[in-house]
Amino acid sequence: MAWPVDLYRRVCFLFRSRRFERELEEEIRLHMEMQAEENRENGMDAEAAHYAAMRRFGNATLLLERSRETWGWITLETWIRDARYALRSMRQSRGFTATVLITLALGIGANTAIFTIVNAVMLRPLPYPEPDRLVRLWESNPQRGWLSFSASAPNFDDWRKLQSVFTELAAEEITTFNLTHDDDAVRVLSAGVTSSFFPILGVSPALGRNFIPEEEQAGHNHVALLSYGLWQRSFGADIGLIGRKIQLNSESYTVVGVMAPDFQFVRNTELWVPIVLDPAVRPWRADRSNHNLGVIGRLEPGVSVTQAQAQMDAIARRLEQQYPASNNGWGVRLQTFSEWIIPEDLRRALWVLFGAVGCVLLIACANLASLFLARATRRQREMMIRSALGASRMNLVRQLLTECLLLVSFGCVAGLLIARHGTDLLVACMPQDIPRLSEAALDFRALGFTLLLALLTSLAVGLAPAFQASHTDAGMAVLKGGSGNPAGGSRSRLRRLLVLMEIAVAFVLLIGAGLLARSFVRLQRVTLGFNPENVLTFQIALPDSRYRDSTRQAAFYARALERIRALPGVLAAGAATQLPLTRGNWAMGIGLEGQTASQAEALSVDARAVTPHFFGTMGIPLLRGSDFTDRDGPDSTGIIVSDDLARRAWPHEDPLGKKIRAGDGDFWRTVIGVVGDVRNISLARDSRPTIYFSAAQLGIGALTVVVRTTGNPESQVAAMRHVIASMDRSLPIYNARSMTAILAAASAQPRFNAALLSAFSLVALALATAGIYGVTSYAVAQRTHEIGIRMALGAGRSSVLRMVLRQNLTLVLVALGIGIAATSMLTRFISGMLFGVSPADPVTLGGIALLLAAVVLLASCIPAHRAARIDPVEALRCE
Amino acid sequence: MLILKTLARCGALHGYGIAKYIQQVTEEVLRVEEGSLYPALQRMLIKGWVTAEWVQSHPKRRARVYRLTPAGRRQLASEVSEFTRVMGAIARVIQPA
Repeated sequence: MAWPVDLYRRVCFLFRSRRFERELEEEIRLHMEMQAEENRENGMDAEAAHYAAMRRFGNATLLLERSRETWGWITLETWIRDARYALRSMRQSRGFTATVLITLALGIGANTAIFTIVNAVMLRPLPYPEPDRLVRLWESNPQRGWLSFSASAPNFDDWRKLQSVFTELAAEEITTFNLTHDDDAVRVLSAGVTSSFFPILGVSPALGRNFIPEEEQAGHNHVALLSYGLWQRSFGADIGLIGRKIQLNSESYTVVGVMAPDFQFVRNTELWVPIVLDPAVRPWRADRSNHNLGVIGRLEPGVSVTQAQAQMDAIARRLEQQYPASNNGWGVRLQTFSEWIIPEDLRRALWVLFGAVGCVLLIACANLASLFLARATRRQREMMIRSALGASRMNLVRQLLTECLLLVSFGCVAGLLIARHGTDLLVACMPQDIPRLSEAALDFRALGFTLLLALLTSLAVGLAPAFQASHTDAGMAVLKGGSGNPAGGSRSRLRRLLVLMEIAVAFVLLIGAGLLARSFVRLQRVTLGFNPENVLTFQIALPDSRYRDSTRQAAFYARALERIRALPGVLAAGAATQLPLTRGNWAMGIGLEGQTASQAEALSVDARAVTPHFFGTMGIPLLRGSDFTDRDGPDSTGIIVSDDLARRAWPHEDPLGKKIRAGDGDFWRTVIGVVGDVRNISLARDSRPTIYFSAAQLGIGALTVVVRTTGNPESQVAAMRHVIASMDRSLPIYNARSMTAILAAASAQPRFNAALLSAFSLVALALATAGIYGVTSYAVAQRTHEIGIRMALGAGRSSVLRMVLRQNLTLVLVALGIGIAATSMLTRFISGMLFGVSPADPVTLGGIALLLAAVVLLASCIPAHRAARIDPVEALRCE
Repeated sequence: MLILKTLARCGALHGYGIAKYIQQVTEEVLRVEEGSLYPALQRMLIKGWVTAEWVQSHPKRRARVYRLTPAGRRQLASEVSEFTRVMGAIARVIQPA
C-alpha cells in the first residue's frame, strides 16, 4: 500500500524539480565545504584540501543526475530535455531546419497525395455487394483484334436463354433525353436498362421501386428512375415526385423511384428508363450485327470466371453455327468489374506515378541523411564533451534521434497539409474520365500511410548519422583541434554512396519522363485525317414524339444547317452521328457483292451516318465520287466508304458503283463516294475501315453538328443556340465545344502522365544536384589542408580543379552505369504507355545521360573553383 | 540500513554528518561513498522513511537535515532483524565444526 503515496511524492517532485536541483546542489556544496574544512584541520593547505574534497565526491554532475534518477521520471525528463534542446538547435540553424522541413513536407505530401488517388481509384473495393462476382460481358472478334465490343440485342437474348452460370444478365444502352421542366430544357445523360440491371448490381432505389419486367415492353415503358443528384437539382428533392409524370423528349414518363446519393455506375448517368428489346418496336434491334448494348452479369455462387468463360465460349460457338453471316468470328469475352472499370493502362500509369514519387522521396531522404551526417560531424566536439561529462552512447544517440524525430514530425504535419491541397490539385488536373477520381479524399489508410512513411523516413535519415556520430573513437582527434576526419573517412564514403544512388535514381526517372514526353509529342503529330482548327461542335437530340418519321428529322437538320450556314462567321456546317476521337462506337458487319458463300466473311467496319457537307466542314477529303445531297431520303441507296475500306474490299477496282450489304438482311447499297481515312477511335490507334450512311436515309434524330467558323469557334455558341431555339423552343443544344478541345481531351491522359513524371524527375534532378554540391563542398572543405600542401608544392590551379572534377566524374559514370542497368529492367513497365518510341530509345538514353553528366559537373564546378582558389598559406595555417 | 541506524541513533543529521559518523564508528573500515549516499537518501525520501528540512546551522549557511520517521523506524527494525538472521546463518557455516 506504499505505492500510491510513493507515486504522489514522485508527482510532487515533478513540479518542484528545479527547486530540488538547487537544493541538492547546495547540499552537496555544503558537504564538500565541510569535508574541505576537515582536510584543512588535518593539515592540508586550503587549495589541496578543496581538491581532495572534490575528488572524494567524484563526478558531482553525475551524482546530481543519479539522484534525480531515483525519482523515476528519468525517461520522460530525458525526452523533454532532448526535445527542448532539439528545438533550440533547430531555431539556431534556421537554414538547415528550413531545408529539411521543406524537403520532408514536399516528399511526404506528394507521396500521400498520390497514394490517396491510387487508393481512391484502384485499391478501394467497388461499391457493390460482392463486387468480385460481377462480370462485364463483351462480344469479341479476336481475328480482327477487337476484344471489347458491345453486344447486339439478339445475341444478348440468346445468351440470356442459354446460359446457366450467371444468376442473371442485364443490358444497358446509353442514351440521352431532353428533360423539359418549368420551361427549361436540359439534356440528361441516361441509360436504358433491363429490369435485372439494378438487382444484379445489388442496389435498389432509395425511394420508390425498380422496374418490373413488364415495363420492358412497348406501351408500358414510359417509367423512369432518377439519380439522387437530378432529383435534388431539378426537382428540389420533392418526395411527392414519385408517381408523378415528367416530360422526357416531350413525352410523359412516370417517375417510379430515385436512386441513393452514393450510387454510381462508371459514368454520371442521371436517368434510367426500361430498355425495349422487342424488334417489332425497334427494327434495328433485330440486326444481330448491330452492337450497341453493354451487358453485365453476376456469377452464380461457386462458379468461377474461367468456368463462366468456358460456357459462354460454347454458347458463342453455337451462335456462330446458327447465324454464320453475322456471328462468324465473334466470341464472348468476360471481364471482372475491377479489370473493366480500372483498365490495365490506367492501373499501370498510376503505379508508375506512385513509383516515381517514391523514388523522389528516396532521393530526398538520401539528401537529408547526408545533411544530418554532415551536421553530426560538425557537432563532434559537442558530443565528445558530453561524453566526457558522463553521457552514455545511448544518450547521444537518443539526442540525435529525438532531433530527427521532431523534425520529421513537423515535416509530416506540413506534408499532410500539402497532401490535402495537393490531392485537390491533382484531381482537378487529371483527365476527368478516370473512374472514382472525384471520391479521392484523405482517409484512414492515407493517414496511416503517411505516418508509416514518416517513421521509415526518420529511421532512414537519422539512424546512420546518429550511430556514426556517437562513435567515440574518432573523437579524440577532434578534441585536439583540427577538422578531424580525413577525407577518405567512412562517413564521407557513405555520403558519396548516397549521392551515387541519388544520381542513378534521378537518371531512371528522367529517362521515364523523356520517353513519355517523346511519346506525347509523337501522339500530337499523328495524321488525323481531318482539320480540327476552328470547328465548333454541339449535339441535338430530336425527341421521337415530335419528330417521329425520318423525313421530318431530315428536314429539320437540313433547315437548321442551312440557317447556320447563313450566319456571319460560318464557313461550313454539317452533322454526323459521332465525331472522331469521341467515346462510343457503332460497328457493324458488311457483306460485299459478289462474294460466294465460302467467301462471305462479314467485314466488320465502323459505321457513321452523316449529313451533306459534313466531310467538307471537317476537312475530310473527298477522294472519289460525290457527297450526299439534300435530295437523299429514306429511299436512297447511296453509301460512302473510307479509302481503307475501298482498298481492302476492291483492291484493284474502282469502288464507285459497287454494292455493299450492311448488316443482316438483303438490302444492298451502292457506293457513291470515297473519303479519306480518319482516326476515329483514339490518337494512338490507326484509322479503321468506315462506312458512312446518309442520315436522311436512316432517319437519325440525334446528331452532332459541326460548324467551321472564321474565328474562335466557341464565340458562336450563343448564335447556334439562337438558331435552334428559333426553330424549336424546347430543343436544347448541349455539349458545345470546339474540336480542338475534343482533341485535347483525347490526349489528356498521356499529357498528364508526361507532365507529372517530368515534374517529379526534375525535382529528383534538383535534389541530386543539391546532393552533389553538398558532398563536393564538404570534401573540398575537408581537404583544405591537403590542397594547401599540394599548391605549396607547386600544383597549379587547374590541376586542383581537375582533381576535384575527376573524382566526381568517376562518380557520375558509375551512377550512369547503374542507372542504365536499372532502366533496362524497369522500362518494361512504361512500355505500355509509350507511342512510337521504344523503351530503349538510344536518343533519349544518350541525351539524358549527357544532361545528367553536364549538370553534375556544373554543380561540382563551384566547389571545385573554390578549391582552386584556396590560398595555400591560409590553408596550411588554419587548422 | 546503516544510514537509518545512524539517524536513529543521532536524531537529526545532515549528509556530511551521516558519512562522518559511519566512518568514525566503524573506525574507517566502512565508508559511505558520497556518490551513493545522496541517491540512497533520495530513495528513502521517496519511500517516506526519512524527512528532510533546512535548518540554519550557521549565520551564513543552511544545511539540510534528515530525520527518521516512524515508517523508517519500522523499516530499520525489519532490516536489522533480516541482517541478524543472515549473519546467524553465515556464522553457522563458518564456525569450526
